[in-house]
Amino acid sequence: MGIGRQYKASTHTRLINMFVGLCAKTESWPHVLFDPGYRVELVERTINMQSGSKISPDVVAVSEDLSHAIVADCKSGNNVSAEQDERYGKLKPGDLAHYVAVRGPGGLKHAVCYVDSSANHDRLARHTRFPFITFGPNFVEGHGSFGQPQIDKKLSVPTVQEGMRVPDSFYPFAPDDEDDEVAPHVLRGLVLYVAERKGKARHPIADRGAHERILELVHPHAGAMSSRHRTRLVDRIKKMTNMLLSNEQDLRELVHGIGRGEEGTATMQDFSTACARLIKEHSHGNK
Amino acid sequence: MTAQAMDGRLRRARARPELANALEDMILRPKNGEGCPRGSRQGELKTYMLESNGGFPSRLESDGMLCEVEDAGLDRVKIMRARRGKDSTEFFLDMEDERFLRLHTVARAEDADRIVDALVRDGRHMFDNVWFHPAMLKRLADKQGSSFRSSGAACSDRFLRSGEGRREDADSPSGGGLPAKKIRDSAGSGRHAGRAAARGGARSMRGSGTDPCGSARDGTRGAGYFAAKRGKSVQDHLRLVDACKVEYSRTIAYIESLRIGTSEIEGKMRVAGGPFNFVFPDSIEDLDLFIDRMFNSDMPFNLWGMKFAIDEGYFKIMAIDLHANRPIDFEITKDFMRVYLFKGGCGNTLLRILANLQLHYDANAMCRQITDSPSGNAPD
Repeated sequence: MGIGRQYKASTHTRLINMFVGLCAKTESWPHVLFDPGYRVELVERTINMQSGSKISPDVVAVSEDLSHAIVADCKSGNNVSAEQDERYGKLKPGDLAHYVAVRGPGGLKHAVCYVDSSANHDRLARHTRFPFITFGPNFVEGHGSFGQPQIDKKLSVPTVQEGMRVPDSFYPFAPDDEDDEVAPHVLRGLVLYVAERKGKARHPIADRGAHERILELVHPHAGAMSSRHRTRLVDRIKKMTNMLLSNEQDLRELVHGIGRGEEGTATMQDFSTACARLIKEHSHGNK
Repeated sequence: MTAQAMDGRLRRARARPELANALEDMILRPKNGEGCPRGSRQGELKTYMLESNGGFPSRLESDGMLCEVEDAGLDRVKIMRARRGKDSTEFFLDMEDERFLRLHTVARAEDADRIVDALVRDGRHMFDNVWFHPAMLKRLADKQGSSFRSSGAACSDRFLRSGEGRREDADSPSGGGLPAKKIRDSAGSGRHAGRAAARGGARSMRGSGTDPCGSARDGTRGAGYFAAKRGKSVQDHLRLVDACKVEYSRTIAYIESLRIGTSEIEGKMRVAGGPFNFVFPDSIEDLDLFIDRMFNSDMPFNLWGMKFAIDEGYFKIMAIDLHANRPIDFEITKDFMRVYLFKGGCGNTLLRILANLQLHYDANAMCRQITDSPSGNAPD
């Protein structure tokens, strides 16, 4: 232990986690979507629409109780692309049927919404007609209509909660995140991978299969994301694994030591020390 | 209790007489320990329950100990002999449930403890103790057919800095355990007294207390240890162990149903799951020390982790559960801890964390998703 450096996921990854946190019973975080029954069903999944075009929302949450889905796209910048906005406008209830269970006699209704932070909201809201879920330092609120009276009412007033602590671990990292955000996940994945293969003759860490397995070990949503997104994540893991192992002889020896079954307390503490140094070197300002 | 569950239990009870007979033979076998030191408990039937994620190999070596498994001539029961130098200790290895193995022995508790401890510490075989948190211990001791008799209390200095206080680690319902009252007396009164003393063990009674041949008085310890203290009914002892195993495995199944990850539901791949929320009614005083002790790769937590500050007084720990070799994430403040158990992770880890936090850190630490789980409150 004792790394103790600051961990800041990218704003986009953070917004995904903040939204997912609303759909779970999460301590010190509002569960305004969990209470009416919304549960996250899709993360980073491309949806092929009947119109022939595709959308790639970050998260889709479905409430069985309300027969309603929220299709959420997280916005970390100041702009909504008009072309993306137009494609989201083509989403029909039947398009979601292939991806989530359609419930209730009337089928599933849905709302596309953007998820943003209060600092960017005014600028983003000028570019779209879709509703927003907006996070402030100690509140979450909705803007616009979600086409579901209960949710419209619930989100129309800010839910204020002192001491809100952002949940950060539902969705670990995205392909475009910075090296220092991805590195700890890859380091942990390397240890898990070699420990899983210990006692076997080879540890082909350079193989594509190894990178695929590392992704499965460290990314809980790997099994249900779109193949394009998954490929990008595997590529990212490959790049980072190669960089870490080719440049860091002591790390390479520790990883192989763990693979030989030497993962005692001392070895893991040495590994912690190596991780701490590497993470510090790869953090912002040290690249 | 449903008729189906009752039927299942009766079938299990009927399926065990051979094992009970074998254990009675084991108890009655002439002891080679006439010179046993005073206070040793050779001859007393003890059962250790282990959680296993990898089955039990026919032969394993660990830290100078050699364990060999051979056929016992009983259905799903083997004999395991553990040898260290000239010493040999014999267990009946009950594999009726391959995830929750039961090791029965009449060896001295010190010898048997050492062997079971070595099995758990050797990470290669993915064994873990089962962890009865204090509320579960009380509930298990009260199970139908048993009556809760008394509890032993425990406290420890696992979360103190070196030089602070003294060690009072008493994970036993008998002998070594400090009674809760004594701990309260020494720690003062009020909230901190309750925080210091957790139930580390319980005693229960099955059958008629006036008939030693038809009853069993069992001592149960948090780490899955059952000792038949008095009485001679091996069947009653086995029934208590079986009942505890059934409830424990239900709780594990419930915990694992809440893991975060993907699963195929109605032919569609979807994500599911959420964090487990632990709360500390008395705030953690030294968060750095708390995190350091929890994630130092050592027993009992058996967790390794990288610590990151998310915000002031708010940390993320990217951890590895060294028992199952699986990732597990934590977000910790002085008042709560979120635990993210991912698909493939072991539900036993959550019970290990809860039981040891209550035993070693704060008896009032709570995770309602576990203690109020449907399985936790399921009727017998």
